[in-house]
Amino acid sequence: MRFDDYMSRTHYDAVVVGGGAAGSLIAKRLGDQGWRVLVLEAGTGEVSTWHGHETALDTYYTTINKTENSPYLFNPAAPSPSENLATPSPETANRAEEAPIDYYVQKGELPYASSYLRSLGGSMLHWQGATPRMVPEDFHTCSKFDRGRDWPLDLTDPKKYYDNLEKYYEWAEYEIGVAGDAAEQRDLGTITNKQYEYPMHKIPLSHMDHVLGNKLNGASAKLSTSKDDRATAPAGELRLRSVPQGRNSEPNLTYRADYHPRTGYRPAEAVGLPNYGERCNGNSNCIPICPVQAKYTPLKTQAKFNKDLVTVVTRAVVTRVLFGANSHPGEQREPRPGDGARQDQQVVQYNQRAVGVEYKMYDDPRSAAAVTHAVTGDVIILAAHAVENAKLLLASGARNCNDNGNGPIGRHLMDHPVLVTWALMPPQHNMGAYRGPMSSSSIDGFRRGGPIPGNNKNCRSGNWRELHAPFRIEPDNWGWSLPLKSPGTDVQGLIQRGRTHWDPPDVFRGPVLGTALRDILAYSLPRQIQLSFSMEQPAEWTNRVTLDDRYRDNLGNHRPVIYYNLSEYVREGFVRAREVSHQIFERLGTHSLLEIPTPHGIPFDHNGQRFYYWGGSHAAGTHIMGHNPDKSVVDQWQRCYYHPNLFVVGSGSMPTMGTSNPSLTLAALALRTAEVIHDDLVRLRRPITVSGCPAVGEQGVKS
Amino acid sequence: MTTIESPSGGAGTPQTGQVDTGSTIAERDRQRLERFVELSSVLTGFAVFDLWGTGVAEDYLKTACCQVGQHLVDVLITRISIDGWKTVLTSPPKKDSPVKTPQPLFHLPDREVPTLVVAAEVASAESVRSAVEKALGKVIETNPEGMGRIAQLLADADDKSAVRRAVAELLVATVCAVTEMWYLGHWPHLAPEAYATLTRTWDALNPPEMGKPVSSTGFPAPPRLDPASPHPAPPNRSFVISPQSYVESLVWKTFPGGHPMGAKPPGFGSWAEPTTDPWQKAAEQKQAGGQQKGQALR
Repeated sequence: MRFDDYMSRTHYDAVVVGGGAAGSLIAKRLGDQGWRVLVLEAGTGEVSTWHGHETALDTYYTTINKTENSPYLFNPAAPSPSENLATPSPETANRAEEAPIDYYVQKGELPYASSYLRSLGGSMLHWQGATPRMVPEDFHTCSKFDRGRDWPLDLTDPKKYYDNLEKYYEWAEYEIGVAGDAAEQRDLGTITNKQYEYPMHKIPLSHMDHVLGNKLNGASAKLSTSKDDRATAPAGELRLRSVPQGRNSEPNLTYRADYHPRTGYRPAEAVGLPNYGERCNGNSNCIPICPVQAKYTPLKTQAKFNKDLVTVVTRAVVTRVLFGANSHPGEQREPRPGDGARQDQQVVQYNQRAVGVEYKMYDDPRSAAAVTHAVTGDVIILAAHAVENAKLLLASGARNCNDNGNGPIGRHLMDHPVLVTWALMPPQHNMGAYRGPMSSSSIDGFRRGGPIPGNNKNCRSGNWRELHAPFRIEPDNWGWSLPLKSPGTDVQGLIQRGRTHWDPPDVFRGPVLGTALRDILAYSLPRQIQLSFSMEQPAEWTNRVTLDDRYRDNLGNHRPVIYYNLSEYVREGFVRAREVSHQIFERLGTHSLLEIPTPHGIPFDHNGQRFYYWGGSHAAGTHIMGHNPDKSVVDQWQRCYYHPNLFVVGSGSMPTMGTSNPSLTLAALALRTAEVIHDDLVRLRRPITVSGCPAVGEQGVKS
Repeated sequence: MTTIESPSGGAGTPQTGQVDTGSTIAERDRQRLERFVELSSVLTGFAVFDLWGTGVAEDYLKTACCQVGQHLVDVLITRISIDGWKTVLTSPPKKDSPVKTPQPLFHLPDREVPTLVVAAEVASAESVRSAVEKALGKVIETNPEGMGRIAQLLADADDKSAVRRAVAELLVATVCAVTEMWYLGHWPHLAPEAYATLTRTWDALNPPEMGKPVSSTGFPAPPRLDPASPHPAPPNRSFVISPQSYVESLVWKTFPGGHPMGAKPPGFGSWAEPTTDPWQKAAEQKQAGGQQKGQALR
């Protein structure tokens, strides 16, 4: 469609803010159902062509600091965390350069260490690709363990669970294209449908998984706080399962589904280069960019858009949601800092229905010149990422329950704080590290919770999950690349100082060069093993995203101001996870190198122990879903409580994340919401029937 | 003529420190590149064939010339023999070696262990530096034209040995940087002391006429538009030489089954296959031997 065409079309059935996973899935679904949809993306769309993709790959190759966002060009008009802004706040200025905190204004005890990406395709351009479903306990953590929040969906019996959530999980697994082993997941309790199979067969386990499986399957580890209390601590099994993954594998030829036109699944090809990139071929680079696009990205969904009905506009930064005529004239409130430009007005009024959005279009990302436009829609869908959604709601003056800025919008910010442990395997175990997808297996024994042996007076439920956070353990196939930036730092240490990672930091032996250098690397790199413990973080009122008019980006939009901390519950989880890690390494015949300080994680102290955490890049909770409008932003359909045609979608709606990577769940929720939006639009278009007034035909008959 | 321990073989390699003025610039460049690859082979532990196979050798030589100046690179590649480098990097330390390794470097679980530890000791800063210093001393004594400018510096300095030592340290830093460039595909930060020496000697080593195309080396230093203007050394920052250089990083070739992350993919499911190396085989044989013994005893 030509530019002036879409500029002249200023009303749409649905306006979607954000071209990432949730927004793309909803836009595709609505377009398929015949609705005219506009997708406004703040970032650029460069990577949606094959040429742009190749350029991003070259950018990645030539970046010294290969972070999550490194392949994607810095965009000052729509900045993403981990990019450098001109005015970093003083409290973050002294952090390591790669910590993704420059766009954030960090005000909390601890920095929020997770990044995201504002570009067409969103953060799922650089997701890992893991698509575990949440385990059953994750939906009821409040009622069962008195921690976090319960989901407002009715999941009380298996049938309701299937109708309200599981069928959307299945649908999301189809849309994403998930490879997995359904039997293993059924055994874990995340699949209840006995007939269900994944669209593709599981990604082969890595050689490392095989070695670990031989040593760990059938064994268990204790959730102890130290070596001494292992005897009395609750246990969890160490069995390895394959992880369902959103990347192309061998298609399942017997796959069937209602929304799938034929038997057998056909993997999705690369965007912009037909018939290319169908299977994962082991580039070992899921984060940040899959060179062959075997991994799902929302661009693949966008390629299937109904082009006549769905319009995608990039470089359009939505600045606020516009609300219509005031349907409750009595309601008024005082302005507050988040109101931004409208502070000069004496009174800002409440509004009910969202009528459209205001957005700024820029041409060159480096320029501060942008033209402001507005577009109207019957339904407005915010799908801009958990942090950006909260920002937009606050900047638009959306109703935030009890008025003094103390409502739930932006609160309950969650993440998966990650504990990383690493070790060097003994000579007989060449683990074949640095090959395959980032992770192909998972240890699920500590995800669901379990009984505590004996009586614990501090624990009402008798389940250890009441006392400390559960975690999912992921053996990583890429050596020590996450905590230590191996193998680059291994090489640098040896060449510059003759120091290996397991030496004390001040060792200096002089340069190691030549065959010695080569042999040391040849021995140690394939024997590097790393475990990531993704910790559940329950929703906390005080972990929040908010606005401060002093902190703005290039276009004058707010930067997120973040208050973040790890609660006692999460910190206790770190203690148990470290002990479990020791037990795993003991069983593998090696020992943890955890005590070696690393400059890359973020330190905190707990009970006299020093820990380091990494961000999981899994933001959630900022527009939390719940029963109570005073404590929640959206209802179970991700519909704003106070703005019935405003939907806020994405992981920000999730009341808990459990220990699962949120992408699959947020996709399932988005598809579920698309159904309601469709119903709403149908109802909106239906001719009004006025009761008590006979139809014309009937009158004719009578007269 | 001849001052330097020249390489044993090497047809076409310059036998002296002076570049053969009779040959064309292209010919001299080729010779220089060959010497650079030979030196890199010793520094990286990879065969010359592997290095030529990457296709980035010329880029690396140019990068090194631009970053530390061509005269320093000349010293490395033409004035110290390849055999000299081999000796430095592999020979066992003398009994009276001043090098004391604080603790054993690395326990590889087979007979190679002493060799590696010894190599590590030999390759320590002290020994490389002394070797370089020795070579540099000779150069300065016998070559007034090129390296004579350093001699000039030395003459000006109060403490000759201190300057000589600083330059030697810069050479060590350059050798390390070249190795890191081969292993990781990027030019690294230099240590602050080495970079300080570089900025001090830059003007002496890279005089204005070096920027001209008729430079004796063929790899001109960054050109100076205005010869009268100050001529600073390039900034001390690290950068990836090219997309190709990342893909060809040697670190990924050190272990079986390795490939750069994001390139040269080994194929679907290849990660499920085991890889092996001499240490694993040795450990397995030892284990198997132990078991057999145990059985025999029973």
